Amino acid sequence: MVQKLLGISGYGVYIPLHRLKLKEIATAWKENTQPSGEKAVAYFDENVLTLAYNACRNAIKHAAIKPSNINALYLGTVSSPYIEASLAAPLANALGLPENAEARDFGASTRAGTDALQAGLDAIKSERLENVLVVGSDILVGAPGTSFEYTAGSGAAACILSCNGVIAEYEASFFYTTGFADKWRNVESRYPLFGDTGFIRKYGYVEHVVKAARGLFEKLGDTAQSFNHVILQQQESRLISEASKSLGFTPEQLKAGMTLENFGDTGSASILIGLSAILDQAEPGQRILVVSYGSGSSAALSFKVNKKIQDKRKNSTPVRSFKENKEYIDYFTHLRQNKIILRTEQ
Amino acid sequence: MKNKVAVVGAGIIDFGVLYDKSPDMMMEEAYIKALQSVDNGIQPQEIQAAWLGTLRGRFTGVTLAHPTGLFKKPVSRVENACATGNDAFRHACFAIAAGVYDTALVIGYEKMHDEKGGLIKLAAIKDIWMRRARTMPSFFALRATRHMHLYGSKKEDFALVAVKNRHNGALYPHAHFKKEVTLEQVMNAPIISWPLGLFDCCPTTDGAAAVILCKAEIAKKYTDTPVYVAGSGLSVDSWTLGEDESLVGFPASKEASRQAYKMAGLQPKDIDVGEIHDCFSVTEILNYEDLGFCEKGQGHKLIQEGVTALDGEKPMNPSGGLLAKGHPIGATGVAQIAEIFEQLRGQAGKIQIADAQIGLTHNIGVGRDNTGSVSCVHILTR
Amino acid sequence: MITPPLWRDYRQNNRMEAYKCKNCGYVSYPEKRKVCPKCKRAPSEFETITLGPRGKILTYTIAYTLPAEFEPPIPLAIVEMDGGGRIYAMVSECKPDQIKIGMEVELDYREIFQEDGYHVQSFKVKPVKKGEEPK
Repeated sequence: MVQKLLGISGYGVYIPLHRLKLKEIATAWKENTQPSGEKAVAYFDENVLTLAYNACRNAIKHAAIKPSNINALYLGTVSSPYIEASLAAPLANALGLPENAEARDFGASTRAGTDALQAGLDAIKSERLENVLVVGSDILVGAPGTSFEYTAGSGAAACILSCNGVIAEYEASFFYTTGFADKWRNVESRYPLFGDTGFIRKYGYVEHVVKAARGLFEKLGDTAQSFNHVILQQQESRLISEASKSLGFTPEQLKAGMTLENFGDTGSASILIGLSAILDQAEPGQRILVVSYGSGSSAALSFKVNKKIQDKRKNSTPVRSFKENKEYIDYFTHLRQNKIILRTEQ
Repeated sequence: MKNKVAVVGAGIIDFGVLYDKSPDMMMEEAYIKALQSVDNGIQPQEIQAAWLGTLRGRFTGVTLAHPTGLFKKPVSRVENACATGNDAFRHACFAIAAGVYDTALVIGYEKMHDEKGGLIKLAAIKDIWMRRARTMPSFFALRATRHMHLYGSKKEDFALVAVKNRHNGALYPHAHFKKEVTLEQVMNAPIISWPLGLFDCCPTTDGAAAVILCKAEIAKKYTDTPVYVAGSGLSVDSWTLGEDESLVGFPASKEASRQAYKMAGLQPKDIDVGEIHDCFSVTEILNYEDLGFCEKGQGHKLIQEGVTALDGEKPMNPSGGLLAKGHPIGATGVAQIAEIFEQLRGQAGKIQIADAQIGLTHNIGVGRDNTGSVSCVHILTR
Repeated sequence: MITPPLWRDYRQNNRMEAYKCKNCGYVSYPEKRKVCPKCKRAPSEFETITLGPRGKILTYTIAYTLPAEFEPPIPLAIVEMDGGGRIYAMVSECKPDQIKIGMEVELDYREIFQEDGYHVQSFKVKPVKKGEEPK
């Protein structure tokens, strides 16, 4: 079987306009800290689907593909308003995908966007499909006054997977799965619960990211230095730094893909947003490592950048534009816009 | 149809927030007043047919039969948005002019305070088009903004309409608001839909009005001073036709009034007094232009110069209009007919316009997804 | 829930699909028609088009008094879309002092309301940023 070039042929990101400064949360709850940084927060008229729509439109434009030529839409999220009701299917219709398109919804953990990515790659590799649109989208909300509230962010990122017009070729994957439970959210709850901080840091994120990455190094005969750019699940800065230290990455390798301090933890979108940020600046021949994490499992994937990336750059909507184009809102407006506080009718 | 129909009696109840009065009670009060206003008297049995005007009131003509006892009679229910009242009257006129009935009754009513929440709630109706934050004020505010942009009118001009009409309303016994407002109060009131503020909007009101009409040949039996229907006009329209003028005025008003003027053989300059649809202050200014009282884009000059004030050359809304009376939708048009009836007979009391010979009534209504959807105009003469 | 009217108009609401009379060029949105309200031809043939992505504001107001689910003030505009068709739209990411007649705007996909907990999306418009290319 001829090994055709398979990978990403276009990508796009969408981050809501508003930002909340983390120190506003600390001030509201009279916490004795001065956190720096900010996160992206959705507006009252934004939802997981509208963010995904905008990211997909940007990806479609970048890939210069007609919606009618897209065979499938795979959407990953953990913040769908529904426990049952597809977002991928109505989104496929709204984007103008043909009626014979496949629609798939991925969820259950912040790996969901990367799960969708892997599934898209497999579908094309098996020659069942030709062009797949993958999108990760999340509007994460933390219970007011909790530490998760400081990181819970919003954003979406999409990419077109294809064998045509590839700008970043897919190489290989490696997985590490134990089923460790660090974070969970029941159907009735709006907010997730977490295990003990130190405990879950060690046996959750760090262990899985490290083992998945090392497994991929071994499989490909690589080392940490084989990769020019690395994006780890953008969950929390301490987790990222412990995992990357353990693996031996330098800050330079992580820099391009870091969006945590700009947008917060964007959940299922975080890998794809980081990957997009990397591809905004990556050069032909460079290698990219991506490692997701969610709920006791990690996926490590590697990509190699192609020279086609430069031709297409003019049609991209760079992640930098979302870092620069922003408006701050105050804490109470955020609580109101995201229906964390509701006005009841009298 | 010119001068084939005469109005011989009319009754209006006091408009307001009428928690104690049911729809039936409002209608019967208006009906009794109308009967009693007929100079030479009238027996209920003489009424051969009736038309009921209401927007959200109960279905069928029988809704009118219950408070009036007009069972076993032909009663029709008419609805045409804010033009309901004038249109119900128009239906009755047709039937009489066609010779089918000699004497008929028209009642318009609206009960707006039996439900919780006001018109603001309508912005959130479960319909993707209505749900887009559209409220009645916003429909008219859209026209105001463009009028200001094209013709240089200002928020203050709209406010002058409110001041004038609230002044008139304070003199009118049936008005919902009987207190004047100052220009400063209007200008500083909370904004509802820019540039319109609280006092630029008519209130939510309950009300009813009734009118008795008959064929012209028998009018003198009922009164020495009947008022004749000289002209009638009706037009439906939509901004979606893409006409630029529908963004800064109402082609529906223009066409409805054109029909009425033509039927009456009259022109805008002949009108002595009018009760015209000022659901919002800006609407009255647009009405001046649409009804032909001035050139397009000059409406604000009329209010600036006091032309349409109670003591002006061409008084408009001596009753205080919808801004002071409120807008019980089905009742409004019928009340306008009743008011012109009183004006032309010299019975308008403190708001009497001297030597009023020719009067005009006008409604412009909301429909489908915006305003300017329907307009109905009548011209009445001595 | 999604109701029959919302499903019938899905393409109009989610793809800005509109219908252009082949006889007189009138653009109908959102109604999918057989009778042209402009040239009155019944039936007339209509071509399916897509409105936008950009347009110009013909007039606007700023809604301050709205039910609880909205976040006022919200500018509301009548927009003339490029390629024909006039639509009514809420304006997002726009401060009251920013909005002007003649301003260029582009379509912006947003949640419009919820019906029994089912989220319904369609388009608002937002000001075009200087130097930005159409999507």
